[in-house]
Amino acid sequence: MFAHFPPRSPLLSLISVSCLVWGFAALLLILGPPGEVRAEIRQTLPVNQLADFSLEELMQIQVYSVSKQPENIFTAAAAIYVISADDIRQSGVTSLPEALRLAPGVHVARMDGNKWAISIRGFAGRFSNKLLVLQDGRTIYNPMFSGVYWSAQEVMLEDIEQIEVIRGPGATLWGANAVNGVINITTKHAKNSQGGLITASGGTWERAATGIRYGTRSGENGYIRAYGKFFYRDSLPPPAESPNLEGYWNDWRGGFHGDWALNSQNNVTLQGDYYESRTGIAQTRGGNLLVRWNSTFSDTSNLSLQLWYDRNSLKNRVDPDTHHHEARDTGDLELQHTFALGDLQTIVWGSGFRLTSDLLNSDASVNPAFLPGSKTDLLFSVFLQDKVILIPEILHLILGSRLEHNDMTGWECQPTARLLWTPHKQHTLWSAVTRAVRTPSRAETTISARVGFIPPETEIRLVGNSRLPSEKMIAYEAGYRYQPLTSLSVDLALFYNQYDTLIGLVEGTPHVGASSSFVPISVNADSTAIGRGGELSMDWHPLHWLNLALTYSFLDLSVSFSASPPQNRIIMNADTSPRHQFSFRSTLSLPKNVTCTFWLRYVDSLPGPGVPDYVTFDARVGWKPLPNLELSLVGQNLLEQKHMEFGPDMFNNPSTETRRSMHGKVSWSF
Amino acid sequence: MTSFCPVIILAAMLVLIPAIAAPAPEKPLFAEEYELKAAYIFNFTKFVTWPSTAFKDESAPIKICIPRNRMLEYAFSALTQKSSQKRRIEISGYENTKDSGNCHLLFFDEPLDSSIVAKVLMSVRNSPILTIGVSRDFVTQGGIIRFVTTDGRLTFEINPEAARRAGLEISSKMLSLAKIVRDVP
Repeated sequence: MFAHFPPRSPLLSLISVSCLVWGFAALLLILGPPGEVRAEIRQTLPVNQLADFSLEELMQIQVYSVSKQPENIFTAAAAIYVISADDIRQSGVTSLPEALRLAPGVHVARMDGNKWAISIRGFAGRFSNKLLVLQDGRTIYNPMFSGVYWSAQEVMLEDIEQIEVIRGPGATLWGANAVNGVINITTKHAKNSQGGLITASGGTWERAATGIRYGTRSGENGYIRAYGKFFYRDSLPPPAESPNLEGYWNDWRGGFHGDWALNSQNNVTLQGDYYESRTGIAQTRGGNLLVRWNSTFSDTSNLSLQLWYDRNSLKNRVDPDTHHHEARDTGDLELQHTFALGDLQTIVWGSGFRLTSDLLNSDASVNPAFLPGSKTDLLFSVFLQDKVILIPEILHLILGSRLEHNDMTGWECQPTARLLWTPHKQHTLWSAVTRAVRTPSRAETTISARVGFIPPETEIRLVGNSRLPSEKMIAYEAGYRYQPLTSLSVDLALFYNQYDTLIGLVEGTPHVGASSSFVPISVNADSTAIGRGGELSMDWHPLHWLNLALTYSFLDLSVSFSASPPQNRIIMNADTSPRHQFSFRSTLSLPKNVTCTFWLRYVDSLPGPGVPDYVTFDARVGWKPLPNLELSLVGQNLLEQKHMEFGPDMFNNPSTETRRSMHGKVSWSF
Repeated sequence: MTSFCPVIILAAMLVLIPAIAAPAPEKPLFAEEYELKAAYIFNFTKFVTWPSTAFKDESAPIKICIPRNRMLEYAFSALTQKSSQKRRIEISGYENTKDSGNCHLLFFDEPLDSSIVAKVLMSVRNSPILTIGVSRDFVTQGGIIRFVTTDGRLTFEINPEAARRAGLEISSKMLSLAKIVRDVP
């Protein structure tokens, strides 16, 4: 099932040889005498030469950027990776889901032109229900099917400051559904996106895309930017068995983001977006508005209050004459306060209040129906986390818990305990035990749908279960970070996840009535699972113009059904994740303002849907003829004409094969 | 797999190999951050006058204290070959900031808890020690010099009042190159 490589051995041997070479070089650097090896490859000035420079000369020297991961990431007690704005630009990706491939341990599988299955540490699906995703502090995880509607989420990629990817539970700080990971997308402060930017691109499948942004000062102490973006991504050729599948994505959106400093201690952010997207059979529109007030009382005390409102509505064609309608309004208020308690403790506490209300089809003659058709849920939570210094600068203990109340499963407790040991500036070791929950989705609790038919007149009916408990997980994690050189950092994380009361489907006994008969499929929560694995990432900057990033992840997930008979049970997305994933990316800054990126990826087979493993290769060449103009040419999936990345979604819509593609892009800033 | 694949790999290798073999592209001068900081700190010692009581005798070395960290120690070790103001440079790595007593120059690197930095700064406040740090509020907390990275270049801020309190004299040439920061009232 896994260690079985397809007959692509020349390529794989090339990969393994190059891995060996890079690995050997890296080993030499770690083990060898630092002076000699470094002197050979380094093209920076040595200290004894620098020491003779004058202060004025020193001020002209470019700092060779150290590790790409921000300093505080190195000493974090969790498996965190930060995708930077440069990574996104240099990789040549054109959408948010594709950008997530840059982080280790994230499984991104493209299903067609507008759908992706994105997951961390297992349970991949079009709606990966154990992964929480936020954009600028606003959750984009939708409780309808428990997951993200990626076809409604897009941003001006140039305005992204960073994407923080946390593998493993983040429930104490982020709340329910942050079970297997958290993805936190942050856009730039308005001050850092001043002036104008126009981008235009086009290519084989990325047919046309254009974006415009303009940032300006607003008042004495404020900045604001506005953007508009449009793109048309073509349908990939549909599979032979469903030739009518429409996988295109047509999207326009616009928004603004303003930041104002009221005085030296108080800052206010106001931002909003509106979008309309059309993706094959679905039409989505929505918008959001967010205001955040941040007050810094002192170096160690900070308070933020955030209020947002989000609306989205979706119209999805189920079959030629029935449509699934869905509208959701969410309002959220959050408070967070950080302060130092004495010399040895830092406390973060907060409270959140969320109201979400939806409107769905409740007419049983339309398929699917949801009863009740409209539901309002209230979510209330408080959390407290304390970081205690056990030995100054060396040993820290983090203890915290979130207590959350939701209308479906009541009170949920999500504690964490983390130990952080930094014996030396170059070494960080951490370990953690965390409990996290995933609350049942609106669909799992209230759906009533005809999912099949056995001739002559027996229906197969899916019936939701309003008494479902939440899915629970206890995660044991450990990690090690090592930075032997300023230019080399290694990050290893290991995990052991124990899942309990996993929600799945059970086929019931046929019900034979006088007028109608049916086979019920009910939603149940009586399975358990064990997930284990790890991720390794390495960033190496051997020369100031060369950057290498290597990631590898391993996952072993096994589900067991506690109740019998197991053959009638199914856990969604239990066998849709690859066992091995590998990525190697090199970025070169060449003369004449040319940059090149080469990106090789391997994704193992997906046993459930029977998707074979694949190796793919992307390349990008960017050229800046003028400081404010960049031209780039990107080739994606160059190794093969096409490959499959995922199976059908929960509605049995098949995936289409991802194709080799090319696109060009122009970015002009003014 | 089509015949396209070897072509791509070949192309990639063709680009990679000359790129690695070729001399670096024309560029501004580059330095590793720690090494640049070491060079700056050596330069600072030429522009700062310590009170004569800070040294045992005419030939006593200038003692620079840095956090115990292999990368920093490697960068600073080159300075021990040099002399400044006719004094040798001595580098001392400290395990924790308690043993900062007889340093002439004390360098704090990230990430120290800011509360610890504040405490150490308070304890060496009136001693003739040139304190240098990087944290955002280092100079407003009573530190004398702070390194700032702007647009990929390293510059520095000076709090002259903190220097005066420590009994150190900083030459006007060095002050003219720095961004001057005052105490927060």
